[in-house]
Amino acid sequence: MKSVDDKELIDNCMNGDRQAIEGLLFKYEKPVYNAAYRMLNSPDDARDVTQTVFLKVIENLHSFDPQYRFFSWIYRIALNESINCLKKQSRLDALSQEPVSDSRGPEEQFGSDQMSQGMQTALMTIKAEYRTVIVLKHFVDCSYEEIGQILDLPEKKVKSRLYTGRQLLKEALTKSGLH
Amino acid sequence: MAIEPKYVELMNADLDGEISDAERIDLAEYLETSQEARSLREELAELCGSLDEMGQMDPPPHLKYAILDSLQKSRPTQTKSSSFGWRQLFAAPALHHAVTFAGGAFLTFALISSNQLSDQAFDDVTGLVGTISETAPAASGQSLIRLTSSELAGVVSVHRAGNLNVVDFDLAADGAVEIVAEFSDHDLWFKGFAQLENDNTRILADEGKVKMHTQGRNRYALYLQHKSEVDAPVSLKFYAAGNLIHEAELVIGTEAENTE
Repeated sequence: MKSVDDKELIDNCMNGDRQAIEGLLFKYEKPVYNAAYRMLNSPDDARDVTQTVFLKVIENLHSFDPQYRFFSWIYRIALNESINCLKKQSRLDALSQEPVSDSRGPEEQFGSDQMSQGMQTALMTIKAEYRTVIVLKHFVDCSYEEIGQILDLPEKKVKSRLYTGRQLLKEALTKSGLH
Repeated sequence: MAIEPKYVELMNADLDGEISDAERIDLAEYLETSQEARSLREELAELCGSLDEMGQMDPPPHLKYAILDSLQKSRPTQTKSSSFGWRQLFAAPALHHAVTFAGGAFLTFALISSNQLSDQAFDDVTGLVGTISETAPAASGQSLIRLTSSELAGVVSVHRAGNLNVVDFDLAADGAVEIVAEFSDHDLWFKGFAQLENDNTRILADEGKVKMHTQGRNRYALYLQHKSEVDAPVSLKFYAAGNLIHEAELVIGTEAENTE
């Protein structure tokens, strides 16, 4: 489903077709933003990462190997950029030890679902390698095979990380009293 | 009794919709024999349900335009050859407007004169594109405004085209937005208006004031002639639902400065 028309869009983007670029944005802006947001728990960082992802994608389209699926490539860039963003902010080491503070403004927090926010906070406490597979599974709706392609991992490893990630998430929620 | 790892895997696979019929039957039989396994299955189902219910966040409305704007500035280093490629599309933001003026200034000026309301902007101008020397950014003062509010996003920039200043509006508005440009310098004249891609813009030109109403994605240009040796400020105000959402000042440079 995700690869339908991608080839045509990419060809047209490389030919300088602005509508094709907007088409690519229309198709991938929201999922890329969501993947970044769930990885970073910050709308500002997610916005910056999304912008960087599309710049990199468009600037490097000529080096994209069409034997691979485009969505694997763009999500891989998105997740790598998100992890780079975490590293830059020196958050990575702290992730597995303490919850990351919620960077949303009070207006955004007010009225938001407590369980959802608790889940997002818990998600931020587990290591990036586990969070990545959970994000791809639950927020980008990828199959095991697709996650394997994006992360360049065998399916067995994908399953193992996903199941461990869920277990860690469950423990984090229990610890926070939400599960 | 500890749950066999094989069945933990099958529970997860079942929740992910990645289980075969035979495996599902095997899992169901196992669950009937283990209360502990049923509890874990329930917990996992609840966890996955909560994750799935978190849903999708909407990106900020202006993000798409900010990305397009960044792409425009980054100019890819390698593109396939094309008759209408990246470089042509993005190389000179005001070029289209400038060439439009060359082909259609008279018509534009005739269409929109002082105290005259036009139902829509000058028709699609892309067909008027011809050959003209590239425009230059205004030489002094504030020549670029970036807007990133939720109501309105994009860029307003000033370029020179011959003895004209082209104020290039590249904007996206969620709802209806009114733009008011005011200038008190008597050596600054409104000379015309053009737009690309859209015909949703309405304009009202009066002495020292130009009002535009816009909605959605728009790219258009105001042509201002400046015959003076001092810079002329142009005040820009942007209103959504009657409320001032952004205010800025552009400086229109002098001909001497810009032709250096």
